[in-house]
Amino acid sequence: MTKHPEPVDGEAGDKHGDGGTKMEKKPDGAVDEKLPDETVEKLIIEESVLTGKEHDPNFVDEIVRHGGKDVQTCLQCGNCTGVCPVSLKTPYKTRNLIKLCQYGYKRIFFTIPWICAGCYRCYEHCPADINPAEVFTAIRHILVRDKGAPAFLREMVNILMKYGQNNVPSDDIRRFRETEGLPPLWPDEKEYDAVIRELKLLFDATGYDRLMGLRKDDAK
Amino acid sequence: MRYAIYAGCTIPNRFPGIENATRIILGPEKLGAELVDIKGFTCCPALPTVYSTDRFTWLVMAARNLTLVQDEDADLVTLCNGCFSSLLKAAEELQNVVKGNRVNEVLSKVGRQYRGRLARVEGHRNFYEPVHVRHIIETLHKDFGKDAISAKVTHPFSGLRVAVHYGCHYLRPTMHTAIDDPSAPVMLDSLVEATGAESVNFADKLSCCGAGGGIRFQVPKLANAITKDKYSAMHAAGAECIVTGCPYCLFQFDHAQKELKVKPLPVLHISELMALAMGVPADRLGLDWHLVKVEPVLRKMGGGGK
Amino acid sequence: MASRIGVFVCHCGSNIGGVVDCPAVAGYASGLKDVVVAKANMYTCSTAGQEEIKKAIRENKLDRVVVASCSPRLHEPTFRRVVEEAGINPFLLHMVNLREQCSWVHMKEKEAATEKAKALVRMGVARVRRLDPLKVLEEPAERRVLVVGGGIAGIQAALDLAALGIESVLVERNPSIGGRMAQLDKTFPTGDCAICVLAPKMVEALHQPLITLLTYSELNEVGGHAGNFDVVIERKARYVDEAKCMGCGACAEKCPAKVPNEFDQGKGLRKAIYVPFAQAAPLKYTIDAASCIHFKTGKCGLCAKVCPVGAVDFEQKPRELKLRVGAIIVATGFDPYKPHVHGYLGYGEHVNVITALELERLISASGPTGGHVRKPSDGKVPRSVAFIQCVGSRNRKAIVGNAYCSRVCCMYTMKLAQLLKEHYSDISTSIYYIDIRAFGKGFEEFYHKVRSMSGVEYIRGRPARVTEDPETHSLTIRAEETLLNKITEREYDLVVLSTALVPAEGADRLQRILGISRSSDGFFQEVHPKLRPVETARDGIFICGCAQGPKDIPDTVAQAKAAASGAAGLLMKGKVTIDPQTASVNEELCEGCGLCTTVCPYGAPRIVDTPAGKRARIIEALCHGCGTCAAACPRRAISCRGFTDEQVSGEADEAFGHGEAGK
Repeated sequence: MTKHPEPVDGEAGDKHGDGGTKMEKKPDGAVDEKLPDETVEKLIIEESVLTGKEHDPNFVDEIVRHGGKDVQTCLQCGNCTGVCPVSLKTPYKTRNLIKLCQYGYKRIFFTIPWICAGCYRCYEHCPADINPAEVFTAIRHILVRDKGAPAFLREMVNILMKYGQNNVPSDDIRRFRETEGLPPLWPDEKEYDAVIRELKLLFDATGYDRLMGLRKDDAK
Repeated sequence: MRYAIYAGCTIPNRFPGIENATRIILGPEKLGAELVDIKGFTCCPALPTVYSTDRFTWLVMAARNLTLVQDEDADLVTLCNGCFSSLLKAAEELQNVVKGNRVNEVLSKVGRQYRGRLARVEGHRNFYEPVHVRHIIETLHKDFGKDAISAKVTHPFSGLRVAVHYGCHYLRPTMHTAIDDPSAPVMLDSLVEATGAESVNFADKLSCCGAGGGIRFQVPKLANAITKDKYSAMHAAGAECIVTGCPYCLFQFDHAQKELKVKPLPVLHISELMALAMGVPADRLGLDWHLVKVEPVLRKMGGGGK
Repeated sequence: MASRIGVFVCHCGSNIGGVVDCPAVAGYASGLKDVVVAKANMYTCSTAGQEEIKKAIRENKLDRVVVASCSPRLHEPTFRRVVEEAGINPFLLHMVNLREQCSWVHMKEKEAATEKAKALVRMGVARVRRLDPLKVLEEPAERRVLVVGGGIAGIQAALDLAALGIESVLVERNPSIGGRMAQLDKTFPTGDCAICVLAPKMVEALHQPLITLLTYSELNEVGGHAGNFDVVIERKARYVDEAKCMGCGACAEKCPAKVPNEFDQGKGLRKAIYVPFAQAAPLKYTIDAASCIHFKTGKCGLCAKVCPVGAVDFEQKPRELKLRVGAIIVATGFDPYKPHVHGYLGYGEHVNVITALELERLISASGPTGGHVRKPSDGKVPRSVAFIQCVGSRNRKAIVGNAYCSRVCCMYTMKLAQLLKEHYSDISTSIYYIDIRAFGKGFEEFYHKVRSMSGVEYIRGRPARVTEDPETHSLTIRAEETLLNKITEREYDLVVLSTALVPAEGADRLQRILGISRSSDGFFQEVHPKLRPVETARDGIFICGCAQGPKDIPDTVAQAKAAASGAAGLLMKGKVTIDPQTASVNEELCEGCGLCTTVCPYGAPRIVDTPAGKRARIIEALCHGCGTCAAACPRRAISCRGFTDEQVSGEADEAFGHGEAGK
């Protein structure tokens, strides 16, 4: 229940009606002080205004080209943020990220971690029928082409190229599989070499290994 | 019905018990379907890796997996939400002739072509449809049904309070086929009830476990923070265990509860729960690889116990 | 005898002239066979342009005219009138479209467009040469209007017609007129009491001798055409003799059957024998057979026993009424959008989530709680209320809600928030919005007034989740407050969904009966959104109010008056004209096979017996000149006046250079 406060006699902001801001002794002994200069410098003077130089006029089109669909029709209603598990736990708000796309602020995405869970709740709730998860996928496409893949991803793709899968089993897993008569895990099979070679050819054909910076003959 | 099981990466390499459980319950011992073994599957590929960075390569890899099954006259049954979403999406996108041709141009370098599954023959013309990509939950529910499953249950879990976790990619995004109502799904609850257990209602039942998108790999703390909310809701509702249809969600719940140091709830894949209820001995299900001990669940099993 | 043809090429400002070289086209035209004069002017449709045509006709003794300008849909009637005033049969005018079909689609190819324009004019000249003079037919018009729907729109239209001395029949499917406005407590932005303003109009309509009220009735069939529609109305069985019923209410007092009251949106109860609300007009009781014990089991019948005038008649049958009317006004209004049960907003699942119209009934003194707003969970007054805007509106997902904005919800929410504060000074209200639309007269001022009230908070953010406390049934809304850049969770006693306006149920059925179109949003479609907002594509059928699209009461009343004016304009001359460009049958070729009768959408061809055998004849009044029968006829026996084979193929020949235009 909000009641608007009544003005008191004395100056505006004069909470105690004793005429002017005074130094108050707070219960825990700390004293209200003037802000130190370094803090003022940091907060006020270094705080900058966006001037439009950050605006990349092609960013929205680039997003569309990589499968992200138009972000311009976003109403900024915030429903996506409200259902996003990552927005709940971090300062990154889905709606705000889409706004940055609208603004064309491509550079800022270089500094934002790749933590969209891809749960698609944002898409399910969006009244403008936008798919923020796909927009972020498109941005990952753009970032990996502009500045290369992050280390964690290269690691994952490396394993994929080597084993054809995301991980490899331990010995006791292998033993269990044998005991239970499960099909031998593919890296166990002699023929699986052929599969790895196939993958290599495919990655070569699409250029994915080069994209991930994992092509052996590329000068690094 | 003929099924080709696609077990993905996480299950065969970390939780082979789930694979075994599924083969046993679908196979001649229990529900009596015919299973086809396919060789040469690779990673589906998982969405956070390849799809995030090059949609075309993802489609090529997924199409390659589908070519292994397209001539088998069998449904491809996935045991993982991620694999389900990846392969289903691929099967749908390959219906686009332009995309399909581009993919086949690359696949021809390894001697493969994606055509789809033969739907019918008219004269000398063949008509193809997308490979049927299915999820084990939907397969059990639609092709067999609660009654047929209950009939095979010899060790019911009466009184077991289960918190079901559908996960994300089983339900969303709905622009690709929605197999269950994304705001009020029923199939996993129904299967759990078929084993005699009770599916409890809890807040935010349909939210994400937190592991996906590469978050578990990069920032486990964030994944765990998201899981904590789910755990709290499940715990508050009096759940005794968690049942899910995705091994990565299982992995997340398993590890997060230990890392968060909360009183853990055992986590099971629906295939494991079902296999136990149908009398499959626990030692055939590799339950020791679950981080959170599942003994409390086994104790609730009727019909002779472990 | 050779024709004397005049060709007038219009620049249409720069619309045509900016692309097509009009003087060149006129010059080209003047070299065509039978063309006596060819001019180019700036705005042919202007007074000056029209005068120029008339002058040229007189000076050059022209007998046929080609106007090469915009689409005939705009000015064909204008130019027909012009040539008629100069003494030429109006159907010896032909229009060539150099704008929509030439300059506007070839804006970057000026030379090619000019060549095309020349070809089009050549074709037009060939056509006009072969045209026949035609006579416009007249028919007496029925001076009576059918108004479908008895809400404020229908009532206002009927009253306006009566003021012009025109009879109207008002058909309403509920037992009383009044519509949605009767359900409102107060109206925005003035706070007028809705029923206080509406009831006098209802009574006026009831007593006006030129208005016939047919309540508890539905329109079932419409045949005919403007000026002469044949309509069939079903008078449903009330099981109460309207002539005898005094509206005393003794029957309802004794009736043991209670069912949810539609008027109160299900929040209150009524009896099986009922009037929908106290100010009902006519004040006659109705038995709802589906909930009546007598009809279900054969027992009871108390109402019949206690009625002092013996008005209850269980044997009453529905009756059919056939009428002829000259025009029809559709005023069928809207229904409130039904939020999905078990959707994420919790409607239908969480007991303290209600819709705005349900709140309106609770807050209304005539409502089920006597104007006291009570929580459905425990009957206590809520201390905090949240409104959620745009429920069912502004949603582009195909299966959820509608893409359009419902126009009035921002304002009715403000009104409800203000009413709550007036009733309960300590109540706090929060309004979750995406945008606020306060565009009308007095609206922005009202918005300012409501915002300045303490205890009213506007929160920008679309709620992501509404959860319920299992014990207190209070609700928690989680939303990103976009202006704070923070996700918040706030608790409320009551949540109100500001739901969309959707077309009233049965709009699709009515559409088929009337043969009119609906726009993609489902509301009935006007001919032109700016200039002809209350007419439909079918002559003589008008639409107004929320049947045409969501709107508030002032706009509804204005449209109702406009529709009445349109209908009156059609009928006041006492006759209607029929376009002579209709089909006609050559009975020497016709064999009476009847194929034309199966393809005509208007039922115009009929097979009749003649001394020579069965033949098809066209009822010209029904014919729209679409040409389908002519195309279907296997014997080529049917031709369309103004579009005969010779006329059309002669024009087509000209396009391919096989004609006789010369040059």
